[in-house]
Amino acid sequence: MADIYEDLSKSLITGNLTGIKRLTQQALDQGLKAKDVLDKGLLPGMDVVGQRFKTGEMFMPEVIYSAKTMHAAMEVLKPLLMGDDVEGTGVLVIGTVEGDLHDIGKNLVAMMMEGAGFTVIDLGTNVKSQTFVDAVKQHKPNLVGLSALLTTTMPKMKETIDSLKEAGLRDRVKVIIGGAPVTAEFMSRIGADGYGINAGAAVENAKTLLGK
Amino acid sequence: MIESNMMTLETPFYRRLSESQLQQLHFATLEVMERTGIRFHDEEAVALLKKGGAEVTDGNVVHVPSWRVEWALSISPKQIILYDMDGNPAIRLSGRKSYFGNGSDLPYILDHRTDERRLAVLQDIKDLIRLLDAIPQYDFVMSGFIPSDISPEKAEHHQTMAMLENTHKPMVYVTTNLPNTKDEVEMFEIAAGGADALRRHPYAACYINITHPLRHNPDSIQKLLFLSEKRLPFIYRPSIVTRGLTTPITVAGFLVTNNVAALSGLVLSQLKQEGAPYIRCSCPGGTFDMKTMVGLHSGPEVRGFNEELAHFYGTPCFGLGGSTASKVVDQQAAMDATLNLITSALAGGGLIHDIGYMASSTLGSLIQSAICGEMIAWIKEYWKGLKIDDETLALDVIHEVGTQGDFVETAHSFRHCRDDYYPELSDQKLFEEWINAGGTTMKDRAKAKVEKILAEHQPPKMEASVRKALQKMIEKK
Repeated sequence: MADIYEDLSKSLITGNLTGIKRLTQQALDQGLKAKDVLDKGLLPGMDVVGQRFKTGEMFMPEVIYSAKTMHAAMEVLKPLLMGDDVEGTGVLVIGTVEGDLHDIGKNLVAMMMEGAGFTVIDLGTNVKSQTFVDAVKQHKPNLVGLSALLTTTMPKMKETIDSLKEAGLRDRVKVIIGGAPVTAEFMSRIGADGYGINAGAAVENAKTLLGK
Repeated sequence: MIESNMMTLETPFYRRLSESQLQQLHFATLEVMERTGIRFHDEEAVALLKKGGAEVTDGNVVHVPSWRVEWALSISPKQIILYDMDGNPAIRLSGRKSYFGNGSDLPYILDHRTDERRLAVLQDIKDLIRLLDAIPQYDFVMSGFIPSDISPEKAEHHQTMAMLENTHKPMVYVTTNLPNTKDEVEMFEIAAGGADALRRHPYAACYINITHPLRHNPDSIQKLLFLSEKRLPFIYRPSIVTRGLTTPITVAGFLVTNNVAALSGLVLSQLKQEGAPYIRCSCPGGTFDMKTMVGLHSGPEVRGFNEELAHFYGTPCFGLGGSTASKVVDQQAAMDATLNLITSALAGGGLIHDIGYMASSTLGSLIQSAICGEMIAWIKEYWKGLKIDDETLALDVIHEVGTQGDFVETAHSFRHCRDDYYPELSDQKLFEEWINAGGTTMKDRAKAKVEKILAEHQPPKMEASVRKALQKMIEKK
């Protein structure tokens, strides 16, 4: 029984996109609970990926492939997971702020957060503050991620946070920000809760902020 | 003495790609331009390209036909002259020439006084430009730093003012959006004495960055259209550091994707204005470190190939060299900058910019800039061809000195002993002499040079009327 959990983890680490669905189904056929397959087989594998990425042992395209593999496994598990099991580690609403079309970093974070067990709602790029507010009302996330690459669009991050305050939603979420020009100092200045210096750090900080 | 078929090599001969390889890349590019197309997020651009023969799908995906590309290549300028602010031709951008300049918009500076890293301020820009004005190895300047002490809306105006006040060398400027571009052009026109004067003797080229090679953002397109119509020189850069992100990770695929963006920008500019002074961005580097997720320009990969493409088309070229990923002025900084500066010059990088850039485009240092000036001096010396004539063969001198004598005493050595390269910053003394002279490092000597220049160098003075007009204009914004 333990073996199949290990196989699942290994499949994630090596990015076995072709074999993962069959393996996941195999685990379920053996009578294992979907939640256990997720917690004992898949999430530990992604933890290893995160660690190896941090030390430079794994490269980004490899991490992305692992995240895709995780996503494929989740497609098999999702219909079987109950209520808050589906939410997993948490719910993230993420987007690039208004005026900015850059999305690679945001896409990476979204992928890695999904890999870490988050449910991710990606609003895309050039997202107005009001759209963020509406998404928070609709999806009730515990985390909001804001991305910007241009120094000129950074003020939009503050605007989004202020809009959440005005709508009485600021206390319900943790806000993390990211993007090349973003710094810890900027984070404090605009009242965000955390910031990721890169996609890997974003995931770690997010988990810490939520007490995971 | 006469001899037929005498040919000489004046300068180092360098090729990284053959004609057939370049043809392969060219045809692959044309295929992508027709088959995949490029998304232009701008209505005027799409309309112009459609009128120019392109098919449009999905609203704004433009499929550019090959014949239109060939047309654009045939009419776009193969030489663009940048003047200095006194109206003299200073940079003739054509062929495999290399000119040297710094970069723009670095957020941090390694302060030469304290050796500490801090946010840059406006005074740092003024100091850097004045330093580059004093060092003859630099042919053009860029703004250098982001002034953290100026509000973002006015930053570019103050950067430009700092450049105009501290040098008359040609400049390359960067803007965030179209309104700022118009402001900058207005400033340059004021300093030149009018729009016609600037157009006739342009001393500034705008460096436009687009967010992605296959989807061009509105601001960048609008700047291209504005400057094309004005017939003012500009550079259109398909993507900064993106191999593996916004282009295929393999080098050939990267080159093709870059080329698609460069040629589609060229076609658009020529459709807007025939003969618009388009400078092709052919930067080397563009690697994305898949471990640290940092954009790199300093490494050995992709050097020379992009430049070869520019020369294949004959388009004036904007290159990159003399940069480092190092965070301090150390051996890595020197090694990186030297290796990529030489390879850029060999490749004929045109306007080779970002010289002195550190920490992967986030940090600048006046000391590193001074040391890079020394590298350029070495390179220019290396570029000198071999002169073979009676005087240099010196056969009579050899015979006279014969097997017993010394050459150092000859009139010949007297005549030529100053022909050699004697470096300014590199130390060539014997050990004891070096100790007695202070046992200095390269960094010490470069620092001393920076301090001397900042204390003494007077850049060309700006006319009072021009200063007044510029300040009035900045205040109004």
